Amino acid sequence: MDPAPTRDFAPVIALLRSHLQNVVVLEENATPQRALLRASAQWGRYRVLVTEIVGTAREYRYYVLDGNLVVAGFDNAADPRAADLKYGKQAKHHYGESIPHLHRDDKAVLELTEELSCADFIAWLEASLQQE
Amino acid sequence: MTVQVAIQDKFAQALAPLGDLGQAIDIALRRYAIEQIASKVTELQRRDQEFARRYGCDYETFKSRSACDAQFIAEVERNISKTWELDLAEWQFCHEGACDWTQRLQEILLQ
Repeated sequence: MDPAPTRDFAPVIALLRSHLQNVVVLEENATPQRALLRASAQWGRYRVLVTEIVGTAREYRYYVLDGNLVVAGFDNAADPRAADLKYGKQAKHHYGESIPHLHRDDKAVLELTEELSCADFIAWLEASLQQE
Repeated sequence: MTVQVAIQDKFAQALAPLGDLGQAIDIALRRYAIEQIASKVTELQRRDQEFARRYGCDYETFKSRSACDAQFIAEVERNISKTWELDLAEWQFCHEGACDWTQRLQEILLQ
């Protein structure tokens, strides 16, 4: 986990460049209240898409695509399916809540996860997906 | 907060006969800030509207529905984008970012 939210994305970009191939920073942008990083990269034949927003809260998306297929998608969006999984019958009271989760198998499977940093994601990638 | 900035001699000489140099710099910087921020707001609003067109509703509606309506998400994933979460993050930055900059612009204009 990152020690604290930071608006400096240089460490994240350096991390991506040291582990993945063809890293392209699609956008690095900031307002007085928040900052955005969007990047793409290759992991063997897989396309990796990374989005981070740092503001009052931290939003992340770490997606691995094989063509149009979502091989894995880690994010902490407020997804009602994740709320259903986490809270069961009480889920509707938690709709709108940021819930870390993972989409797999072209989004046919959803699992709850811990909050992820980019370093966590890369560790998962290296342990879980062979570069072909 | 006061910051010291070096002014090129040619500008200092040109502005000297026109009055207080510090005041002139403040006016110039204010105009520059307004121009830059207005440009940021326009660009972020343009992207906000592009997402609204793509998803057929405004940001607040999409954010609200995607957070509580699994059927809505299923339709979005089937008909528009399976990776809507990536779009939503970018959309959020554009929508809320335009508000951030608009607020900053108002602060400058009211000073």
